[in-house]
Amino acid sequence: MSERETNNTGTWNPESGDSQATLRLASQAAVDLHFVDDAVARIGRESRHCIPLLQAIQEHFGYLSDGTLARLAEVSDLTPAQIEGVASFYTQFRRRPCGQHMVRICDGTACHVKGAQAVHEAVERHLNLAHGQETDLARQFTLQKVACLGCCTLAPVVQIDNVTYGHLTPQSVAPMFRDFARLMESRAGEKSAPREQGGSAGEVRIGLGSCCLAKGSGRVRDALDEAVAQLGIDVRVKTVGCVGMCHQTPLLEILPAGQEAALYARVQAEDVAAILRRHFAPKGLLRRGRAAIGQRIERLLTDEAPDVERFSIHHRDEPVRDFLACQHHVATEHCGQIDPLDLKEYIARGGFTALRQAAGQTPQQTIETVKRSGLRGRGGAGFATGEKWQIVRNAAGSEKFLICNGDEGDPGAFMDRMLLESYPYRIIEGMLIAAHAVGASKGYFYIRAEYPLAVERIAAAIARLRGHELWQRLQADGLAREFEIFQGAGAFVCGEETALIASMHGQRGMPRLRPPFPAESGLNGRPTLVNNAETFAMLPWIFRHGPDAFAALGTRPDVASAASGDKVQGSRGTKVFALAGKVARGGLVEVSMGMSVRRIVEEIGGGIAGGRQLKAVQIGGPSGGCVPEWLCDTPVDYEALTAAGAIMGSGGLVVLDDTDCMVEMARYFLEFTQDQSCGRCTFCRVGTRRMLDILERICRGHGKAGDLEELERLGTLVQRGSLCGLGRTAPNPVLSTLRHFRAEYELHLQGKCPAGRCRELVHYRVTDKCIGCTRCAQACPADAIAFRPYEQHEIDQAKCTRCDTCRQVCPSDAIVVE
Amino acid sequence: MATVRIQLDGRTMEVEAGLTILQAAEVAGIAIPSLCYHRGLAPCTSCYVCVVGIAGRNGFVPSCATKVQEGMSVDCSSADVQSARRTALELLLSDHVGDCAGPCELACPAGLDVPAMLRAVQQGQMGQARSIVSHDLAFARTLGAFCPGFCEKACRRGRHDAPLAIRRVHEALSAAPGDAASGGASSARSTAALDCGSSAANGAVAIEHVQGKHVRVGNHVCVGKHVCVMGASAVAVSAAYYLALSGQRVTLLTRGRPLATEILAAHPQAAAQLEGDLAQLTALGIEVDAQPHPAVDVAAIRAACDALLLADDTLPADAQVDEAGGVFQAERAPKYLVHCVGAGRSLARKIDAHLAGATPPLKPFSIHMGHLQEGEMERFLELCPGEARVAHIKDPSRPLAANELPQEAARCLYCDCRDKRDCRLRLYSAQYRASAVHFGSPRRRFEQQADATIVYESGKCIACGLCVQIAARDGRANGPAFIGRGFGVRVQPASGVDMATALGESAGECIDACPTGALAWRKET
Repeated sequence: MSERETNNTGTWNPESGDSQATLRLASQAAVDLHFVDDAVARIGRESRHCIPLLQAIQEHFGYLSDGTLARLAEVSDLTPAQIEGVASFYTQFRRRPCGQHMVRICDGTACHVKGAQAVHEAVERHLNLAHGQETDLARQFTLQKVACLGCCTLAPVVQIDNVTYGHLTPQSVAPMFRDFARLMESRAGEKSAPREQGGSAGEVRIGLGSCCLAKGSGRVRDALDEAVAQLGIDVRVKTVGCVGMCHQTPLLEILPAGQEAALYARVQAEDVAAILRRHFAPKGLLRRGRAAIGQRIERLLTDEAPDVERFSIHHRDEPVRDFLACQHHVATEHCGQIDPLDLKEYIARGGFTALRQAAGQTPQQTIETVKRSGLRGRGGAGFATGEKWQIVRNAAGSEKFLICNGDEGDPGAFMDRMLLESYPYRIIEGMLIAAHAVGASKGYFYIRAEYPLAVERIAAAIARLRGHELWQRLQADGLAREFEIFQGAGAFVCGEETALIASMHGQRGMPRLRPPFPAESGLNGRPTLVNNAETFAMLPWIFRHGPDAFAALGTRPDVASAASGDKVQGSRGTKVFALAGKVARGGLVEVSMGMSVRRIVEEIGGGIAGGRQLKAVQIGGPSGGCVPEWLCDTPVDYEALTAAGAIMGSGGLVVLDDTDCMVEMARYFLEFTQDQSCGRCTFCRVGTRRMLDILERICRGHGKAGDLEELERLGTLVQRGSLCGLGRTAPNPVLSTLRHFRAEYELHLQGKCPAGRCRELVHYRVTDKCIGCTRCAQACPADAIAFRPYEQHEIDQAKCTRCDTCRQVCPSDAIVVE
Repeated sequence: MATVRIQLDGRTMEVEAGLTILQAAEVAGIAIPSLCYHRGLAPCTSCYVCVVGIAGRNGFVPSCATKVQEGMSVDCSSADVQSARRTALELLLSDHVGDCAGPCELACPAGLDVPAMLRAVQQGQMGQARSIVSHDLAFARTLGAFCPGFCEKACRRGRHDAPLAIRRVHEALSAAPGDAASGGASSARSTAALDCGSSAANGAVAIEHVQGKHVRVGNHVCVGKHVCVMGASAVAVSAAYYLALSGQRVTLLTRGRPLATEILAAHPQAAAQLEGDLAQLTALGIEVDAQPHPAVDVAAIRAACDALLLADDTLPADAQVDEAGGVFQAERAPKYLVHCVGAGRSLARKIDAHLAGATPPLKPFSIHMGHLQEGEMERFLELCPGEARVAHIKDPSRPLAANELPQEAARCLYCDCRDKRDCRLRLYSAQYRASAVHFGSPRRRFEQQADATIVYESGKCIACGLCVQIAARDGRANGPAFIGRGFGVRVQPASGVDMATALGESAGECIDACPTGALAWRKET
């Protein structure tokens, strides 16, 4: 360790870092403007190019300086007013210079409930940042809190540049930075040698979704290539998309020719060679020692408890088949089996036959098929997809567009990311079917810039498809369409279709009053179909298996509600969920509609981790609500979830246990939405802020009589007095917890937090179980525990910051929260 | 013309298709308040004060942007809708920094418009300043010499160096030689009389001040009704004074006692000033009936006039007070003369309203920014032309020279809102009885930036975006834009540009459109 630290001093020297930064700044003045000019020439000069231009400029300079923006206004059609307005609206854009490396701390729901706050504080301490300060003095690191990195199963997550670290604790922050420094050193001679050849001896599959990469799949992949070359075995190394078992990544699947397949979980680079030797006979190598190795690998087989993660929390895992048994893969068909970018394989597994089938029908028949399937929008609101298509089809105008909405802003969801990363061709096929049905001439992908891998995969898939002979045939049949990718710049509200379109027009993502709906007047004022990525991913299956097969899955409207005369549609097919939080096995799961929330948590998720009690399941993120444990038999169904106080939403499913405080959860979500509000409507802009004021004071123990009634009154008014879905649903997390957990709120008014989460209402105490090991005293970042070997330790309440570090390091459970 | 049938508050009507609900309601004569709607511009749908309910929908819709549809049933006025509007106003107020009325004028029990007086003095318009004093104050001269000066104690400038010497300025104005007192009052009276003349024809009018700049909002009717005021106290005299100013024919029944003697008891040196002030009564045409009248027949007196004010503490306690029947009674006389004047003034307003058949005027709404935070005084001082206090300003033995008055008045920080008479947020807050402190949240910082002509107070901006829209329409590349989002959203010019430059020629239209005092002309126009 000490050797490494010495080695690092070269890279970490503040002096050198600073002078580099100064040099860079000094040389910028001359270069800057050229880059801006070039970017305008390359990207375009019109209003609609505003966001891509700003993204390019920031990518190049690290931030948006006044000088570069002034130049942009000079050489493009954009006005300073538009540029400033847009640059200040989206989270992605920075107006201040930043350090060499960006440290992004995920504040998604799953990370939040798993202690992101403590990690955040630990990072601040590590970098010696005062509260609110972003960049360290040496200008090495800039700290940024981000809404969600979409790696919920690895929570809490920190990303340094493009390296993701998961399952962090305050103690693992220092090792994380050391690991990153080591990585930076070794980056110098980085190589990339994709290897997908041969395969007489069998196949080795490695998942390369974002979660997998975050857990070191990239390094495992490199080690795999190296080992295959070294051992001289003829296997095909294949990258596959998300397997769904994010809790087990990196995952390696070995399929030796003619033998039973084996799945290895949490593989590390150094284990790879041994695993390969176990299954494949190395050429020209002595086989001795194999037995010795075998024992070491045994524990990596997923059917046993693995223990190889460097920074992982420990929990026992159930067999993989439980995880997969009650799932039904429609959007995620062939999960973990196909290479996301292998077009040949996609076609071999029936890809594009659905498009052919649709093309055999008239557009109207295609729409009828979708209507018959009962498919409803998977973005959250659940509008009938066929109906939406019909409106676009019927809208006047020769030019129509369609947009795949992949602006997944829910800070506890990652379905869209996984689908875009793992099944790009399936989504493209779905979009082509829709284009045929509604008569759209061009398709757009709207993907968050926080999902670089999804953008990369979709771009690669489009390029490969265009290069394939299939494309000529599709063109000849009039089925091919032009595609374009638009990268969202970080605004939750842009998931709302009118805001999404505003941002594509180069404006601030402010929703407008509907009607007119985008289906009538959308992109460039043309009829535009906006569907969620998951909705598109459902389509190929529906056409290949028939709409009735899809409709046979899921729930039907029950007689009672049908009798009420409302147009009740039931919830057909399957739904993809991002399962995360306090569950034993998190991941991406797809289940038939109608399965109970409890079965998802218990059977797929393996119940609550760490032997705690299930308290509630948060569904639908900031627009949703908490389904309490006693209502967990609620089926996954649009209407049933709404009745339980949650919403289907986009499918984030964060499991909460008895250590989670419901008041604090409500506060967390409201903090998110009030920050994400576009700021247009009074009720949403100011109302959510005032609700947050009340929740903050309740969490601090300063709640007053009447606060709960005021929260309900104001929450209802915000719901009723907002223009778009963000405002209308923003109070849901508060209202649903008030409805189901009112007693917990009332205890807070008396100054008690039963879950022990609200820092100002709890204190930490060392009990007589203390063995005097001094670990807590060593770990305490606030020096609140005196170092007293072999004696019972004591916590100085005045100094204690309630960061929970002592409780986590204590080997004898001697520290209690009261 | 295609029409649709809709219901507004239960009334079925046929209106032009394509109208918004707000426009349809206007045609139907139903008032819907709105802050961010501006004729000729696209609806901002921001303030949500214009919300209405639509049968069959749970949510409210902004009436400014929602088009009427066949069969639509709109709820424009129910308690539910009104409460939503009130909450929208209260939310806006919870993030609105400034004082509608200055701390000085709020502190004055008699309601002297101190800021207006000071600004007139600062601009050298002494005549106007005098008429403001004489319009607002009975006993103007006596108060000039002996007022305890609550206004000065409230003066914000006192937190910086020393408060404005408001009383001294007022004293200098009311004691000035020549036409000081009589001229002021008589000119005020002549205006009142003019108003009476016109009101005979059209009923309700506002009292307009001499210079035509000083508009009082309200709908008093000056019909020359006969009001008897029984009493000789300062309250009685003040009430008579204000009633006469608003054009009533006033008879003061003193029952043989000298007028306002309690003033002399408290301030024996006030004889000269008091004499001057009492001379005003004659100038205003108030008839003083000094007959002893040992026995009082309230009913008989009431029958002989249009309204009667009982302001005599020797009257029997069982005198029949009947406000609906035009018999009013003064409360016990307060301690300070300035409070007596204030009491007389509010009684006069009440009687005016009664005579006009109107409800008493609403208490004007005012929001207060309270104590300044660090650095905010500097923001005020930036726009304040005056610097040092006149050295001997507090020395009563030294009269103030003509140039010293404007010098002192220039020290005024202009705490009151430049838009206090037209601000729609203020107007609707009064109408809907919104509370400025309902949410009790910490306020945002006070900011103001200005050039020679306009002032922009971002703390009063409600982020409606009308100015953003106007500047964009006029092609102003550096025009204001929304900056940031969520609760922190602000309307600001692009970086490095001040608001006046950003708005350019569009400034006038933007200031007119601005629903609050966020954008205003720097000088009152």
